[in-house]
Amino acid sequence: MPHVVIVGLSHHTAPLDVREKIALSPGELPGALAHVRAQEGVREAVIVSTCNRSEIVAFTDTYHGGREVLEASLRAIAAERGRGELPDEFLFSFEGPAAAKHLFRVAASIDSLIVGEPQVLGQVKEAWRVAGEAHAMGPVLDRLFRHAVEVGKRVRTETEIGAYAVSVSFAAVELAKKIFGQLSGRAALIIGAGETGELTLKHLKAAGVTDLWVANRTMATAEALAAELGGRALPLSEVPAALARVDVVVSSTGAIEPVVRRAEVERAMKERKGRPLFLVDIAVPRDIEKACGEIYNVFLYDIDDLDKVVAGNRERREAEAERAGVIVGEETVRFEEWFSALDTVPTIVALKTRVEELREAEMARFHKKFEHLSEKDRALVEQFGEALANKILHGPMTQLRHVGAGERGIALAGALRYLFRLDEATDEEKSAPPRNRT
Amino acid sequence: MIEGLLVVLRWAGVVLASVASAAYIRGLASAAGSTPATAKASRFVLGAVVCFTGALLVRGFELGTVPLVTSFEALLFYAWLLLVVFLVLVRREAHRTLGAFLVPLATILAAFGAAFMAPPAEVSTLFHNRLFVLHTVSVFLGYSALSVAFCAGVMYLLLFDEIAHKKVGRMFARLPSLDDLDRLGHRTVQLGFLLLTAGIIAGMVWARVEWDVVWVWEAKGVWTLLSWAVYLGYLLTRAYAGWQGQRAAWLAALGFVLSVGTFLGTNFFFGSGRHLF
Repeated sequence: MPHVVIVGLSHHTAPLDVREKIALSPGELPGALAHVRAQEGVREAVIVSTCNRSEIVAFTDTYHGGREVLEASLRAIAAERGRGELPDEFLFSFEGPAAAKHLFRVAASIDSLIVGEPQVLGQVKEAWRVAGEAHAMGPVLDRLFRHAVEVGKRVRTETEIGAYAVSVSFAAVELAKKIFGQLSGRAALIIGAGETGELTLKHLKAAGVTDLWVANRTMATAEALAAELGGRALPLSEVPAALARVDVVVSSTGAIEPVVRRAEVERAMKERKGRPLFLVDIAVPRDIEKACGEIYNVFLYDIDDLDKVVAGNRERREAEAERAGVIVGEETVRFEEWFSALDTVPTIVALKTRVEELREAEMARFHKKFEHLSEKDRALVEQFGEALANKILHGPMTQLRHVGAGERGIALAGALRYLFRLDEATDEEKSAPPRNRT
Repeated sequence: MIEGLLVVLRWAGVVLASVASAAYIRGLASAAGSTPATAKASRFVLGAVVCFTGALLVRGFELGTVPLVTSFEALLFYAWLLLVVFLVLVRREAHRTLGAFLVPLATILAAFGAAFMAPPAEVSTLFHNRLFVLHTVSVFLGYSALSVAFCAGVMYLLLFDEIAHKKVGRMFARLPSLDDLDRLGHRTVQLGFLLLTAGIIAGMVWARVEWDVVWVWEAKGVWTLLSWAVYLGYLLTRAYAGWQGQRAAWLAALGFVLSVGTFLGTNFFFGSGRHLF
């Protein structure tokens, strides 16, 4: 019986240097798809390739044959592009329901390096589109990928898998949003230059902060960064005065002594008339005196606090991933129902053909004996035979269609095939040339 | 016949409001922060408002004045106002979580009102005075605004607790921002204070006309004056001492407990004096 088979490698099985060698660029995909489709027994194929995974999803005639063919294809694709050998232990494979489940987990971002990251759903969608345009896909994989995208969306709306920030810079921006609401029209100041600090400021800008200030010990550095971020530069000596004007301060200098002191913040808060101030200290050792956090309406988060928030959020995402797993399970069952329903249709057709053959054979046998009947009566007997055959067929056919998918449908279809000997060739067929059967 | 219709309308409203309350609370408690039912809950609120509007209109025609003569009518009127205010606020999606606080409050008030509301007795001509209408309606409008301020304050404190203690969790994911809640609280306290002041002044003028006194010293008046002072304090400290945020939220909560709490308390436990409620 034909199966959905997945062969691939991901961050779970292969190190980064292998993954990035195998990763296919969008331009390489159509060629690779054509290669896979040309293999014996492969009916449909889609390739999902990102920096974290390269997977061939295919609809093949058999599982074992399919897996071998796909593994060979993946190796051939790697070799063709001069990317070396692929040891067995880097590869994984799934078939049937497990394959559908795996793809759904990927689309739901449960299988991602960072659980809940939003990009993978778009990548799955893109793989689906490319395979469609390359005519590598047929009805089964089209349905499977459509379903996978639905699962991804369902998981994102019904769980909070992507709701919690899992990087320090994003966590700081989330906090700023929860303190200030709309960030447009707010001002932010970065003290010192550091990667996380810059990233935080970029995220703040993306979230709507319009007024950006950069302070640094060396004015030239401040000016360069300000130009890059679209902000204005400030000497370090003007930071205390600026505290009254900005809403978010991100500090990441290499200074040993505190850069922002309690007395300065207190003075600024008087000027601010109580408007809240959010201080983010990502420097080690700390830049902002801890006592600043005790001032009314000052929110101070240091790197430890942010790390704790991120750790908590990671745990929350893991918990949400479990709930997402339940959704994936449900959807896998749904897909399997659809997939097995494909299989009751041939049984219905075969049954109908068999009964029709029997009827015709019997009519032929009685042809001579009916010669004495009038034309009208012979037509009546013909009609009677048809009506009886249809009446007998009606029950099993509607029941089978009704049960349709699932284990019961397969069992009933099997029973029909056995009882009516649908899998045995009839006398005429034995002498006729073999027909292709599915 | 009319009383029967009134009972049906009142309880239908209470049931609809209960369904909405449950949906909002479940939404807040659910992992996703809202359920499909939460999105539709405002329709149930609207249904409750329609029922209460009908009940209050009928009662108003019976009485020939605003349906604020007995405390139970007043409760129903107050609940109705809260739901109407909520319907206005919920048009901004950020305010939806307010439903888990404001709608249950209104439901409980309405259930009390509906349970004990009796057929109208003889209405004293006193209550046909326009000043009575002005007094009661503005006080209740004020209460409804201050109730919103209370809910916003409670929500602020819940969220503040998580942010200040670095235990970012459930409320963080669900509630609107501190700034949104603080501003909602501030605006509703301003409005509520204005209406409460107008209501008190109208009451004083009415007392002057009817009894020739300006202020009646009884429990109700004293407590009202206290809560009025708290709200005045809220506005002054905010304007001059930078008390926005947490302290403002506490003051809004305190003011509510004093005003609405004493409205309920003095009526049902001490019920005396010229204020029937």
